[in-house]
Amino acid sequence: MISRRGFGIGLIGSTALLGLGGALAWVDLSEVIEAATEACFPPQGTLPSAASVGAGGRVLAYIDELPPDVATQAKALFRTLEWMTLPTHGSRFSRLPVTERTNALEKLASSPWFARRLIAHSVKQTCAVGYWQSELTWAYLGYDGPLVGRTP
Amino acid sequence: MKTLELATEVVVVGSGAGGGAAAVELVQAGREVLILEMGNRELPKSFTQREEQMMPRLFQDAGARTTADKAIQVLQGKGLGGSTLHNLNLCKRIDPELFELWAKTRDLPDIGERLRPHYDHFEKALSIAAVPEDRINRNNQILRAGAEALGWKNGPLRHNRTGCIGSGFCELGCAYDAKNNSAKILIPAAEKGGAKVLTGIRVTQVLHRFGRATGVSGQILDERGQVVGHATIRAERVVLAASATGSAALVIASGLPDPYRQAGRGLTLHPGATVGGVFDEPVDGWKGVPQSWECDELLHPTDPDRRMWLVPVFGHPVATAAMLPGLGPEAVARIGSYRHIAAITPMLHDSTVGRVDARGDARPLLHYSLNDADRRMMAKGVSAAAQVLLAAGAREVLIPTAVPQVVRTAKEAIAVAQQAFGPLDPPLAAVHPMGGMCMGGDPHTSATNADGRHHHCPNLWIADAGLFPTSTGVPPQWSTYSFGRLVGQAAGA
Repeated sequence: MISRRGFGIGLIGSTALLGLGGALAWVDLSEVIEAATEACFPPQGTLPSAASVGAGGRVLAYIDELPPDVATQAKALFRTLEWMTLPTHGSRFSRLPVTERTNALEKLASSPWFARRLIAHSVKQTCAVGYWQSELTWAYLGYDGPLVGRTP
Repeated sequence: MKTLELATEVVVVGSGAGGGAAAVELVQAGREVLILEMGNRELPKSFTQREEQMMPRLFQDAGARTTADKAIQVLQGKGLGGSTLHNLNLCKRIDPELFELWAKTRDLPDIGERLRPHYDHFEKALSIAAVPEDRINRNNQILRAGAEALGWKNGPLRHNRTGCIGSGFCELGCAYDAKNNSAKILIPAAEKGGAKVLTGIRVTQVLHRFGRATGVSGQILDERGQVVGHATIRAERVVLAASATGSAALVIASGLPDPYRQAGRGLTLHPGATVGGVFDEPVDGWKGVPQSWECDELLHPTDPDRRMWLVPVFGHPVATAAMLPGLGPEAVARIGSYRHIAAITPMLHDSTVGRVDARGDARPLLHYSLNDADRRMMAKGVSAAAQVLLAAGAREVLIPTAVPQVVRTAKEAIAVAQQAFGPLDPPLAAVHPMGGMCMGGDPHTSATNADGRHHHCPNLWIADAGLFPTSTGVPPQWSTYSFGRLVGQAAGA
């Protein structure tokens, strides 16, 4: 039998853990995605910022098209990224200067550990979907866009 | 939630090369046929040529499918016509030497001879022909020039396309309906013969009783792929043509008799890396027919030391940004060379054998991790691609390893062959899943017989690339049509 005191301590402990987990899980995904996009593809020359092309919203729209389990993993990826720099850089990923964000991703990408490389790879792949689909980025590439509507 | 209950004589699950070919034969044999497709009936005129819109429409899992360890991206199609909607129309026959090997090792006597009339049939039916010389774009000319400079074997590729305007958007579906594919040729022929088609049905179970299939059941999906109901189709015969991975996953998820646990075995993928060369002059690789030239110097159907096929590859902005190596300002600078990049994919004729399993919802789970011999072969292929690009005049070549490398001399390119590659080092992608329901004479070592019939369920056939007992080393499209026709005739008899 669990005593009343033991039950009370357990309840308080569980609530605290749930609260901590909830706090860690809560992040503005759109903001994190745009911060990651900027780290992967920092604007140069005529390139617009990730925020100005709405990269976060575009990635979230793409994630909505994925099977539920894959979508959950994709969201967890960015939540993990947001918090994983806290012990190493003393700050959430999205709060770091862009050069530090890029450096953090490069370290992951070149890691001998597959799991770390996978995070960097997946972040880059996903951010590419949100950013480079925007027509505003195409002039930098010299890409003239879809032909439909321009061809007979 | 909607409920749909139907009955038919034969249900064909999947409408790609194998399903379309089988369905035509079944209606010609006088069978009542119902074709089920998980995707939508996509009209070419509605293809937008935009990656973010077409990937979810034409690719399973919106193009995000990977092997179980997430190391290899696996692209598989959906929509009426299956992967023939997005493929690049490459047509090559399986080499007779490989058929001989299958005959000996898989107890498949005369398999090459049995398939020959089907290959011949589709050569005419799909108007398979070499891409005209004036349609070889700059990206492909670079492969040709590099291979010729090195004295390596190379040549033109054959395609099934008519009326192509060379837009270069093939992988996002042809808005000009120039692909002579299942959607344009076979499904209409089957429908003309009386076949019915239901799109938006994702089969999750093969129903069976006392060792015989009794039909299929699954989900009714809306146009965005959301589940809106449940369908049950009773059938006297079942033909699975849901792809090498999809059919095997269905068989496993359904708990069909499999005393020797052969379902799901024999998965091969043809994984490939992407190697880019930067040229002084514009390449504009996204314009024109994407893959019209090959270099098969390092490819042999049965030689374990020659298992790399070199073909040009190119992507639109999203795909290119994702595949070019590096992050940050360096990556942006590389993408800035977009117009000046030519790219080659070294595609592996894999000796690695993986396994298909089924997730809870019957979606495939792909266990596949390159063996050491294949990792070494991939390094050799990346090295060869770099050599070709440099020989064609590239000022530098980008090697997409975990720590990106830039090589500028043939000596540096040759040295890449000695590097130890690992998972995501470099990233790999695969568009040719094969095996999973391998054909063979011995039920102890194969899942289906020489007619594609399940060894332990006599009214169930497989009609897709899942039948291939090994990697083929060539694009599977033409062979899948041919196997599908062979199976369709057997299932219709």
